[in-house]
Amino acid sequence: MKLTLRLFFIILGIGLGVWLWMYLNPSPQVAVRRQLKKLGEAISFEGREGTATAALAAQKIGSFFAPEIMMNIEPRGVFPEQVERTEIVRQALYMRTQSDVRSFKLQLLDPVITIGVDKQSAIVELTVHAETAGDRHLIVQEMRFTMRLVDGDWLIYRVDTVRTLNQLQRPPQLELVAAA
Amino acid sequence: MQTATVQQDKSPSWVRTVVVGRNPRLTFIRIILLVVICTVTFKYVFLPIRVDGSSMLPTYREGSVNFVNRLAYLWSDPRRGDVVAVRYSGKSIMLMKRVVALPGETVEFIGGQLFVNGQLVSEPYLKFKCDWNARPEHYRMGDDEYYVVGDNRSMAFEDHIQGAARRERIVGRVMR
Repeated sequence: MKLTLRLFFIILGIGLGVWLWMYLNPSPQVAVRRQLKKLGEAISFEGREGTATAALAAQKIGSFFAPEIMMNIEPRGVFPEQVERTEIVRQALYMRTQSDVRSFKLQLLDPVITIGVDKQSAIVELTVHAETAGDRHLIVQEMRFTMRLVDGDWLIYRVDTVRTLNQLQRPPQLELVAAA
Repeated sequence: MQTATVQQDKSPSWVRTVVVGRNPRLTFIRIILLVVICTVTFKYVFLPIRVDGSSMLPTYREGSVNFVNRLAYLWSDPRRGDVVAVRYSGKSIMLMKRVVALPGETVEFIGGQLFVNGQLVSEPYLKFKCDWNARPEHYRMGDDEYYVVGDNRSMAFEDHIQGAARRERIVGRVMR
């Protein structure tokens, strides 16, 4: 019995040690996954916030992005092709201080992570799911994030829309007929 | 008297019998087996899904729970009329749509009716009126593409999520 107990504690100790080592030295995949989870949590909010709290939260959101972000988001023409981190912070602050946006929950689901050979870059395909108090599926969109490891942090420097389905388009001449 | 007391202690109480059965070891094995079977069945064979949205009305109502048969297309390909689940980057959220056109076929909507390869396709499952017109020079499906669309075509064409899904995105057939 004594030996069994001793063996149990040894195995438990080894298990804890391995877990701690993996927690403190995560693989790039785990680090990227953690970063995305943190991003989702940072963007999400519930209830009204004070201006100072909102400003801090917006700054935190900015820290997940590179100073300049390339964007290829559909529908094209609506979003700029390149934005600065400061613009993202500004937009985040604007959203959090809107009186009609009472809550916002962002989930970055099912990330498929491909780490570059240099282990300094990663491409992540994921499903962005956003909900507000009034709309449970405000956004459901597949996206591709390109990330780079900068000073120990995985920063997003490119965002692309991924087309889940290739859609048909209504021909313009039929639109004109309908309008007439 | 003493012998009788010992016998009473040895016999299992009814609570114990209800909780772990007459043979705890067998019960434990049964529980493990049940957990393994349920996990394999509901993760790899019949994926439970909850319908959220109105694009498949009236065939599938909002809030109803259905299963996706993931083995349906193991040895065969999706057929026209099948209701399938199409994944995004994973299976947390999926699209539930009906396959209306197969690889290599062309698809178009004229006056709310579906035309595949220029031929009118009968769709008895449609119950709502549709006025869609979409024919961008006969959109042809690729070698591994299936055109999927919902049954509720009463909404505006632009508001209805539909399009060509690659084969690898089709997770399985939705069971009724």
